[in-house]
Amino acid sequence: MTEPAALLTPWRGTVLPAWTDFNGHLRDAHYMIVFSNATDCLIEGFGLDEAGRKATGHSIFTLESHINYLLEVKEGTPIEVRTQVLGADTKRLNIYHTLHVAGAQDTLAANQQMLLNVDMAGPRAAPFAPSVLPRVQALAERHRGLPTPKYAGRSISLPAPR
Amino acid sequence: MSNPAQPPDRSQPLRPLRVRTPLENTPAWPWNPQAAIAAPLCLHAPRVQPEWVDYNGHMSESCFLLAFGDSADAFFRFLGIDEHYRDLRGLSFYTVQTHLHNLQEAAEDAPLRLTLQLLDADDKRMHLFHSMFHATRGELLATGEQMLVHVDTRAGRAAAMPADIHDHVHAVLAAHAALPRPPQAGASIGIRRRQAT
Repeated sequence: MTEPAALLTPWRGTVLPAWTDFNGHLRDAHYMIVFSNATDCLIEGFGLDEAGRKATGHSIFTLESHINYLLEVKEGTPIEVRTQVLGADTKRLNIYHTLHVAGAQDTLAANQQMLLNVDMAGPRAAPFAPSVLPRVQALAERHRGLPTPKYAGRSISLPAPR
Repeated sequence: MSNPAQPPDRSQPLRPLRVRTPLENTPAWPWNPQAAIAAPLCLHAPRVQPEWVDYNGHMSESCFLLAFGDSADAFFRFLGIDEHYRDLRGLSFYTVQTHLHNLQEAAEDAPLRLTLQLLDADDKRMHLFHSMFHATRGELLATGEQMLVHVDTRAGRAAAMPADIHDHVHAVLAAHAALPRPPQAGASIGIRRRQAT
């Protein structure tokens, strides 16, 4: 069983009216805003906030993102994103976010992202800055051995005909 | 790095974003069974809006998805699906999965051209593939693969498409059958390490 304390909760907030559809539910494109905000908060925690980006000349790009939409969530709902690092090397970070009603267990959506460290001078892929890499590795190490989450590594296809 | 006891409330997006659905409340387009169906379809060609741009000066990934969503909305109207379909017939398509590949950056005001390829469909699902190109330079900027499920919104469960929509979807599927499968389709995410030699 996943030990919840091992996961980060990089982002908490509320479903804003501007993010909802005619029905008052979070729109599918706006789940991505929530997950992107969580990624921004995560990388700020690695030292890549605005000052850190300026100092290193590096930024983080999302190469790929896969969302599984599981449950609807209504305007005004307090929500949070929990994050597990699935893997990392010297310039890439494979992360898995889940969206929850704040404090609740049910997963509203899952989002896997592949992040790439980029030297903005190129721009080109570059190893994490020396100030950043140990923090990335420490978190990856902390999450090593956690079970692979249910919606990680998914691809999209119709089910085989019965 | 420690898990902060009180993570910051970051519900305000880094850039405030107004929801824009360009076709909202415009009626579905009339279906002409004689007309050829473009392969792929090209139904949406926006410019990168100022509010789509992030702190790097480039279109943020959630806005790639917003643009793909608007293209899907145009596709719905092409098929005969609009607010009337949703509100009076109680039927709709829900997105159940999305997979984005961000390949190139898009700067503010860049002209975009979106194409849509129907990869597969059955009686209640559509498997879509969006490609976003720079409209004048022709570069592929991003792709978005989606699985949509047709839903009876009153019963709150997946339901087969009605005959008219089913016919339109399968006409598009037939028109797109000869298109090559995009290399990004069917991908899963993982770090691929080079084999040790």
